[in-house]
Amino acid sequence: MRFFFLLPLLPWATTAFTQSSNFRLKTALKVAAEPPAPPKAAAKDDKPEKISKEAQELLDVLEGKTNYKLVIAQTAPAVRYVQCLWCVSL
Amino acid sequence: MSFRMVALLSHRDLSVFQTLYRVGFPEEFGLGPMELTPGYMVAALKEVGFDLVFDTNVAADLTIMEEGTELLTRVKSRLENPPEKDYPLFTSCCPGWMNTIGKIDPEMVQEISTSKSPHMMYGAMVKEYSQEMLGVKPEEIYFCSVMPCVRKRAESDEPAFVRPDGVRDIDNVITTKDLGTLCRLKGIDAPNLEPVTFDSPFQTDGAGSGAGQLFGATGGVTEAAIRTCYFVATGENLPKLEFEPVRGLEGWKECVVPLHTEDGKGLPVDLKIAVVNGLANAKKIVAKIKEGEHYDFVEVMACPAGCINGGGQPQNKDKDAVQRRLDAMYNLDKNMPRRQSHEDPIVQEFYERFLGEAGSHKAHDLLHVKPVYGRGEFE
Repeated sequence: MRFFFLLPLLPWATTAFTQSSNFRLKTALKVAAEPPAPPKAAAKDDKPEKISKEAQELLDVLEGKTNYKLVIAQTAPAVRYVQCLWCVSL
Repeated sequence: MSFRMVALLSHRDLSVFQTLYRVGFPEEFGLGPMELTPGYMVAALKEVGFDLVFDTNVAADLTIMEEGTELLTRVKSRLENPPEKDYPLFTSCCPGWMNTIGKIDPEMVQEISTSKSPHMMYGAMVKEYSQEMLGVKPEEIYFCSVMPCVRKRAESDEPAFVRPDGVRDIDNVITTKDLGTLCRLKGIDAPNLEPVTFDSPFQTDGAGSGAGQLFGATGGVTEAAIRTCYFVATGENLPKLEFEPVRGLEGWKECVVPLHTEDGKGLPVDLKIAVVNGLANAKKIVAKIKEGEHYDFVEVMACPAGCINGGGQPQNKDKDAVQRRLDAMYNLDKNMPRRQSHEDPIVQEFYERFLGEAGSHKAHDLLHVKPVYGRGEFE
């Protein structure tokens, strides 16, 4: 009962709250509703991602610039558990 | 709805929410995140263009067979003939450590295990027996390791790892971050691929053992070695496979492991073991040993926390990320159908078909190397 004197402020408080949280609310609901967006292939306008010389060498092999018949990978135990590889931006 | 409420608290929390959502994504399929991730990674590597994807776990198991045999042989020999200088056997799988030991104390280089690191062992086996295992010549194979470490490439460049015919055991090493870059460049959406299992050079599955999984974390090599050494010495499994004294992220851990059962079966030896990570701790333990402290086996990883926190891994600002990676490793070990290196069917087949027994002459020729590095030659 003692807070009735605050009632006139209620419309102002409601407007202020919804305006400030509107963007967050929409974004949060969007994130919750949609599956994670797949990583995009580099577009022409994007700044090209730096690639190490080892990775470039591998790309050259995979693109058939050399004459290997079999290209094999092995992955160390510590590699696979980095789930954030695809989950968060590096 | 609770996640949404958390997300509403601030923009910052939105990113947390997104992470939780995506890490939790595999659970939509009734699987834990740890079960799904390796399969997705193999699928991604196939999309990148690899013909076969092997699990270095298998080679970690092979390393334990060789390094464990080396340790047991050394302990037995020292029982009969105690050496003048009672130095321990140091692990050899971390190139950061191998590159530093010679600078810390050249005398200690001789005490490093001669066993090659796991990925180099796999390279040596595949190239040596390529015709028998895969039906192609060694020079027709391009073998690339995906590692958490920035020094593994330099290790693979060492002349000791190039065969007499000029073929390299390992042709290239890329890091975890490189793999992420390649996936983005090629537009590979790993979480939405169909998971695929690891390939195997034989008919058996290629997943290795739980012990091999542990290699990525500080204490993991030791725990894997203890399991197999105890079994070889006593003929029995450790009463409890999880060996807690070497677990956790601490920079320095010590323990004593009896190589005999309570009723006296096995060797009359209690192994004194130290596990350190970080080069500052490596320097300290070498100094302690020089002052006269006795250890039988010392595991050193240059990176704090071991390979899970290696220089080739994505850098995560979240303080708990490394702990989560460690927990993931322990969980995977726990859930593996076999948890000891000597139970790995590929390793068993390697010995049956090609090498004879662990520590054999053939195994030494192929899987061991004199500590030609450790003197800063490949920095």
